Amino acid sequence: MKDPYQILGVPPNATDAEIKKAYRELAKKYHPDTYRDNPLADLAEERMKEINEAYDIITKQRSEGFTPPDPDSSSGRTGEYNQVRILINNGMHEEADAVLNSVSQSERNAEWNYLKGCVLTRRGWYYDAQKYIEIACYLDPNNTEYRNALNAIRQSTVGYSRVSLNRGCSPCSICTGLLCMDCLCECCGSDCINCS
Amino acid sequence: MKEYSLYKGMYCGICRSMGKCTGCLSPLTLNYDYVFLALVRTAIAGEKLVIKKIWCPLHPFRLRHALYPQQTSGYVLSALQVSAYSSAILGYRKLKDDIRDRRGLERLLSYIIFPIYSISRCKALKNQPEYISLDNNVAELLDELNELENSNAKPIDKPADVFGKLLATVFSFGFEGISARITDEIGFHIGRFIYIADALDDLDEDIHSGSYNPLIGESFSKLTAMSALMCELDMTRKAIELIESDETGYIAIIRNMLDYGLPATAEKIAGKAESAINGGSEPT
Repeated sequence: MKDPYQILGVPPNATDAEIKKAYRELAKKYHPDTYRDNPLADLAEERMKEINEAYDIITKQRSEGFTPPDPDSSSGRTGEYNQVRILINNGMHEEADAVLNSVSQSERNAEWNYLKGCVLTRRGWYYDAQKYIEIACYLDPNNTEYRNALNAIRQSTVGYSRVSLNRGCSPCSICTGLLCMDCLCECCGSDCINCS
Repeated sequence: MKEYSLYKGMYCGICRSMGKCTGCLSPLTLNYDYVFLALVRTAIAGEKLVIKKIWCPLHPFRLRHALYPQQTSGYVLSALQVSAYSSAILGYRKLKDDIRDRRGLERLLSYIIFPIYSISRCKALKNQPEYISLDNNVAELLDELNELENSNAKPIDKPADVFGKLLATVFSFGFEGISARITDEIGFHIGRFIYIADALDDLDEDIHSGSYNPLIGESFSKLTAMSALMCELDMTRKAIELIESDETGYIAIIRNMLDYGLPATAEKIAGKAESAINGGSEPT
């Protein structure tokens, strides 16, 4: 399948409202009622199906709280890894990973690291993905495509980290808990933490 | 290149193609209708054209930009060349009809310029025998149209359909599959638009001269005329929207023509026909 953002005619960093608007305009244009009794109605139906699929993919991706970086963004793109970009955008992540892994260590440049990060985000391995995209940003600090991708991951992980800090256990609370348990046990005649 | 420049560049490109393919005098017969044909065919084929600066004898003081096919002259179905050859074939057939149908000074003028069209067509068919089938199809459909017109056929939809089929043949020439279906549909509805618009445009003159016009004697209103024309443009637009092409510049020009240029032409022509009817033109 083609890049869903390209099908809707919006950039990958379009807002949800812009995406919805683009979808509605296209749906109106290719709606079956518009092509009723038209000899090309079957072609319009295929186009409508493509548009619906593209909208579903984007909506699902965004509802997962993260917008994957789009390797088709024009900034920083070179011809060298075009094949990998096409594989990623067509959902063929394993194949894209295989192509990337075939590149020797010495040739792994900023774009290699960025695309490796893209493959890992598609797999859901956000931690590892950040590592590679950070390297890409370090090797090519002026590249907005890489920077935007890193920011996108970090914005989606910030909320999770805050939740962890609020609900998780701190070292102090663990010690306090153990002390309380020890006291309780001693009151009952046994000993949890033997101090002698 | 901005849209208007692309549009003009396409015209100059077809002119150059004609000079090369159908003789040095043939560009004198070119009109802007063939630019639409070239734009549609270029967009749907995804054909890459290159811009070249040229010197034109009709505009000697400034170099012009013309579009050229990227491939070599062996590429028989370049949109520019199809437009050039179609212009030669259609122009020749139309002029033959004019010589037969018109009288007086118009007929004399047609006779005078006929050799240019005849030579253009001969060169076209000699250079590219692939176009003989197109020439035969056009001749067949024009004969069918002439029969309808000679039998005073009404309503206008009958002859408009035949002319639509004629242009559909030209637009879809050489294409297959989905491209053929889309260009066939575009050509058909643009053909119907042109036929109805021509009938409206000639209404006043035909009433006076007693020539065939399928609108004479039919109930007429400007609203009906405009609706008929806009329906054809709407159907053309729907077909254009199904073109999947990276050549978005050409699609933008086509949309511009369908959204602004052609509706404005329709409005003008329908108004003229309304004046002819309301002015109480009397037949001779």
